[in-house]
Amino acid sequence: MDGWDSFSHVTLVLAIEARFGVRFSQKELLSFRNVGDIAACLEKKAAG
Amino acid sequence: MFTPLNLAAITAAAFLASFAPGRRPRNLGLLAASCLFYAAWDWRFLPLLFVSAGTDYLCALGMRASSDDSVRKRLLLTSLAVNLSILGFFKYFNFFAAGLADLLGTFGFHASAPALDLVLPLGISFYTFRTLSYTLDVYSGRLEATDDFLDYALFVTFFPLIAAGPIVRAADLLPQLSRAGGRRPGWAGEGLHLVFWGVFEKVFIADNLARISGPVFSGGEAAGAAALAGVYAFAFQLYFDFDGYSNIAKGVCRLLGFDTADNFRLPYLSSNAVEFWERWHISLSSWLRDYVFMPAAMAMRGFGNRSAAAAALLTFTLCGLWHGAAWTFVLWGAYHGALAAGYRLARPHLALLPKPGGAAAAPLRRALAVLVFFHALCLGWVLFRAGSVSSAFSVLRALASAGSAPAAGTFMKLAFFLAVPAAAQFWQAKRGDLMAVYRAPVPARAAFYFLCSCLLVIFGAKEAQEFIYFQF
Repeated sequence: MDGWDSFSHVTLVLAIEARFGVRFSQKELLSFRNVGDIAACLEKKAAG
Repeated sequence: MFTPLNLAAITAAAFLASFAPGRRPRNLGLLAASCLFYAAWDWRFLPLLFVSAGTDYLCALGMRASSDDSVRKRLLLTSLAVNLSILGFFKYFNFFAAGLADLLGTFGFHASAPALDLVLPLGISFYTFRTLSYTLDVYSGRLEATDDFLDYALFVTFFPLIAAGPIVRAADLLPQLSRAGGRRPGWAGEGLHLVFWGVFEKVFIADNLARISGPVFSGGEAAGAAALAGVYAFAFQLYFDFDGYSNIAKGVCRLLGFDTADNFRLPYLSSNAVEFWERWHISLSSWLRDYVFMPAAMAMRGFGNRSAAAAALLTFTLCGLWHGAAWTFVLWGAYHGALAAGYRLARPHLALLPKPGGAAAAPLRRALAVLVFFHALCLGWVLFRAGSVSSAFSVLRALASAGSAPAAGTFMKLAFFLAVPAAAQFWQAKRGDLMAVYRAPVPARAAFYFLCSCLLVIFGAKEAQEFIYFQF
């Protein structure tokens, strides 16, 4: 994606944490390869 | 010891071994070649490679066997502690011992730092990061631990990557080592092209530019434009030295039937620090992004949107320290951190600035930004190349002073050595393909190889110099 970089990634993850009221662990952060991984992690947190 | 002859013999033997029927015979042959390669440099450090490989192999198996996160975390910390302790001892002991003695001295305690006469094991910074990518990825669940120590030992010791990377991740290379075959038609031709181009970059470009840059950084009298030519020469020497090595490494991997990602993507066409690090030493910058920058940024959530800038400063400073145990590297890293963080904090504001000339002038504005940023890079390369901080300031003073010596001849030499790569890179950028030269029509390619061969034979540096990144 044009203009997307690791700074944008941090901003996105921080915004998701704030929006959904969750906090990702370092292990979860290491495992994220795409937005789908973040969505799956959010669903897991919501379920349990 | 390393000689062109025994390196060529080991590569030829590995090439034959890569055709062995079945995965195990092939990997055994490649592991033997890799051990011979390392032993040709210094056999005494070969066991260190196996300490790192063995530790991480066992830690990963332990992580796979346990579902208890605290156990898995302890195993990850063991892997980090063992590998970083070895790296720290060999690379940083003298630096930190001297630093501690200086610190004690400022408080009135006079201590003499114990300086050990340590030899830095070849490629230790590279293979340490390569093997750590494995345990970090197994811990996070990105990668399955392997049962086969042969595959894993080959991954850690693999000779085309051992001396100066690229830091190929376990997730990219291990699956290729763990299966038989995988060689694609056309890889041999691409591999030979990459090796040829890498040798040209090193022997014709980098080693000749070293003769221009060397005197400027070794207390020479050059000032003004002559000093500037020397700094430009080093900027291109470093790039073509390391890109040359990376292309040879990638080419040899292709010849052996393995694919590795590009380590450089025309980095001097970048217009800012963030873009530059997406195109320069990509295997290191992406490693630091995933395993240092992201965790650091999230650990500093409290800074809000500034956490990324603070993490960038920290990451790039560590990046500098990774390059060498010297304040020049630390300052060079911090400088890049400031460039990257500053650019990203300013970017939303820069987007609001008026754009002179509108859309039609966009290529011109981009070219200007590339030119300005290249000079910002050159300032950093002065720190990177200088033997000490005071020496770096001497070069900066020489740059700022008016030189009396004519520099036109030096600039002509620079233009001569850079004409072929500039044309090749223009073609690569235009086609958006780093293999564009290889994919050019046969007559054009034949003319290219003929021209490069002539330049190599006539003007290639006669005294072979070690690749710059071998020292890291």
